[in-house]
Amino acid sequence: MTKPLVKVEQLTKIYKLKTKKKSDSPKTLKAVDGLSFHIAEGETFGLVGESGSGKSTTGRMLLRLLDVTSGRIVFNGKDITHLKERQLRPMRKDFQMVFQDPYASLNPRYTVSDILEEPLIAHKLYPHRADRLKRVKELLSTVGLAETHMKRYPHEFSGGQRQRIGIARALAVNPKLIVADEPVSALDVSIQSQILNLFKDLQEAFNLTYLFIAHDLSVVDFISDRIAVMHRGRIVELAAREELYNSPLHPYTKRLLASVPVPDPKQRRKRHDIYEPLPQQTPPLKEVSPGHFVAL
Amino acid sequence: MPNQNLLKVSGLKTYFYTEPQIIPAVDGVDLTIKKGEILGLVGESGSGKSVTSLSIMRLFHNTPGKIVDGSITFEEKDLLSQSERAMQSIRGNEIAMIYQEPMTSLNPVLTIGEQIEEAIIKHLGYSRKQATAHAKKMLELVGIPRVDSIIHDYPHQLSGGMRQRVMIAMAMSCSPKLLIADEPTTALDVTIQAQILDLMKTLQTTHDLSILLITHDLGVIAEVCDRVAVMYAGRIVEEADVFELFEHPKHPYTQGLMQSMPRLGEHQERLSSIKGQIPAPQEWPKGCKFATRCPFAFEKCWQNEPELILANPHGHRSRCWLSDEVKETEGVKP
Repeated sequence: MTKPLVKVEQLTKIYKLKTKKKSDSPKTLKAVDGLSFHIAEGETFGLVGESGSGKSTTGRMLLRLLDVTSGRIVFNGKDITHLKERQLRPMRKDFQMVFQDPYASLNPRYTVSDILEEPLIAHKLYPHRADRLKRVKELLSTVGLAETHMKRYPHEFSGGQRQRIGIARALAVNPKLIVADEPVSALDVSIQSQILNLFKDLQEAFNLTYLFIAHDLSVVDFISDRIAVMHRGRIVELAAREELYNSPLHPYTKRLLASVPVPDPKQRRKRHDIYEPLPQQTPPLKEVSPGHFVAL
Repeated sequence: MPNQNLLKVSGLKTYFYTEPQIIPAVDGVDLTIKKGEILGLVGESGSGKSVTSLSIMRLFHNTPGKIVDGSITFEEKDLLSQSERAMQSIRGNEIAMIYQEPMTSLNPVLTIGEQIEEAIIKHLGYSRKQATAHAKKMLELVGIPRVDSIIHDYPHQLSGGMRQRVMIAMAMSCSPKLLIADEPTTALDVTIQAQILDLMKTLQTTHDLSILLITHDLGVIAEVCDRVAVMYAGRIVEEADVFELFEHPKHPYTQGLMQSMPRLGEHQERLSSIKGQIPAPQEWPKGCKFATRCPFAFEKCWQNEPELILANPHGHRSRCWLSDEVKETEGVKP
């Protein structure tokens, strides 16, 4: 394995909740609770879990879109946990994000060309407009769109095409890391497969590193090299993709695996694993075999 | 009577009269549901599967939607000729429906108990006391714990899975013969989805319930359905027994859908995918509506639209000009 591009140590996020009366003691919610992992250069690290497990919060902290309560984020050897926005700014082009809802994340009043030019202007990458437009055309062709799409607006595109625009925008500044938060969960299955293939192609072409967040285990299983299973703000199991599927150890991982509907009626499962109780406590992760960690 | 058709939909056409064009959301759908059977209706967004279910319930008030042709027969009744009053009694009493997002279908200012009782009093004419007892029985039936306290809770106090159980309890409270479930587990976490699917299977057996299960997820179909109808561009393009469909999908669209799914535990380098996207109605080809994306399309496909043709003696139908034999002899390759 190559050197880690991202290292996260004891990452924690505590949200303060609103209280009814001022005199009430403030309530808090620990959304992410002492997460530690690394992502190697060129690797796809999958983060899977159900709603409220803290996976999106983790992704956002990693990109410093959310403040960290405690812990450390090291990106490319540099501690970025507490960098001020001004110091962070030049680094931001190294890590980009792709969102779930490509419609909500694209400015409806911008043309595709405007949307893709914007990050180039913000990071002062191509001072001349002609060069920027050349880059925009190049990006469109990279994600499988046509030059003729440049002058169109987001609403003129289908969900899959909009996600291609979202990916092109993330790619515009030549990032090292892309955090993709549920990038295919709003798409139909025939379109989902096109976008998943695109993620794989782009990784190979540009040596990208992905943090791929999704609730769908089959999707994460397809795209990832290693997978971390999150439950209630903690990683309960972390292993290479194949290892996690073949020898899951944590009851929650087993429950997730047993719950995924299999598109083959002959494999209808006896679902006892989904009703088995989960342990109350989540102890720290222990390495049980090389690269396989479990919190049991 | 086994094998008796509970519901028969023939030649259903439901159009939306919007400016600037008419949208043929459902354009000639035939389907049947037998007593005690779970029929899966699968398709991608815009295929017309939800509009099909709304047509059965005739729920197009204040929408530009209109059923323009076809017939819907439930038991011996022709649903399209029923008065609105008669339909109101059929809805809930004989055909009940649950939706994707239980939060938006529950009244936020009524307790769980109040809203189930409301339906029971309205449809079954029970007294309040009888209704409360019946509501509790229904909540127990769908596996809700601590029923005595939960009937006093408001919807927002329950989890998504619990809310969907409440919706099912409400739907089951008047002992309907048919339950229409439109993406009932799509908004739920996968472990909760598994439990709700289990519950629907149980009700099928214990209550001889027929279910029309609408979903985009072939995995969900494989888990619970007896028979499957695949929809594309307002039509059924394939229909078969669930085991037959997954083993021998005939229509290129069904084949494409199955091949595009990532499969857990299989080391797939790439996924195959269906090229392009579902065309808008104004861009539908004259012939087969799938021709624009079909790897096998040839001259005839562009000109004439095929019927839902019987592909084997066991009721497997496919709306495709190419039988396996034709593919072989003509040497048609993707």
